[in-house]
Amino acid sequence: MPSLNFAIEHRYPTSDEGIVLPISLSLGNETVVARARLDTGSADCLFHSSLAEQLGIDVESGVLGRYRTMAGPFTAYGHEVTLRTLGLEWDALVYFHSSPSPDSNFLGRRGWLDHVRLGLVHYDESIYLSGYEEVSS
Amino acid sequence: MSIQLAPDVEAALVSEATARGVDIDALVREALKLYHDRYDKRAPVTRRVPYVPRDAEMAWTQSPDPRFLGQWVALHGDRVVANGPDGKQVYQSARSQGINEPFMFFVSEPDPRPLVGGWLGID
Repeated sequence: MPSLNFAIEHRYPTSDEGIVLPISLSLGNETVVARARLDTGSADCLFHSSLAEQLGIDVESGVLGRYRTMAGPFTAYGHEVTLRTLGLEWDALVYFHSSPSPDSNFLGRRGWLDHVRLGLVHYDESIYLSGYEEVSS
Repeated sequence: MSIQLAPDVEAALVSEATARGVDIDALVREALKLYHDRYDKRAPVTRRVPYVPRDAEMAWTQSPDPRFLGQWVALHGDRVVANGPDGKQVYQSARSQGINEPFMFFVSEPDPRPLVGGWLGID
């Protein structure tokens, strides 16, 4: 029977808002901490453009990404930042959108899920996490 | 978006586009897509870094103070160290107080409807 070992165990808060984790985004000397929802159905990591502006990023200078949802399409712009979650960090291309809700941050497959080994026991509100391939910082 | 290219690079792109019988925008789009796809295939290396618990800030966001409705707040633990409608100004205010990594949160009107995510990329 396969088994997995994880370096990090984290209890996320009981909430109707989903599996919400504290994350940080860094660029140069600027770091902003925010909360983001784990969303394995999301192709990319999507953050509100306000966070990019706080980091000093010119949002629309990034790589254009077009997305579709059940409610219709939208666009976002990709920038490479350092993403940190629960004691793990890596560099990733993440996208910034301008939806009306600034609290719309999502950890998707590319840029987050593809960097970790993830265990999830939602009944216990627990996630288990390791880097896919960890190196010493 | 506009890109400034070195003259020799631009000349090479024009030459390549002419040879392929496509316009230069189409060629650049293809090149960027190849770059993007290659980026995806880089080994997913992560680094272990000190973990700074954010339990107090996360708890605050679960029951935000309604006085801050429609505003950005910068949190340090369970304290609001700066607030206002402009997120960048709030962030900079927190930084000016020596808080290098402020927890930024926008206080929205509560919405009881369940959220559905699962956004898909087209390009």
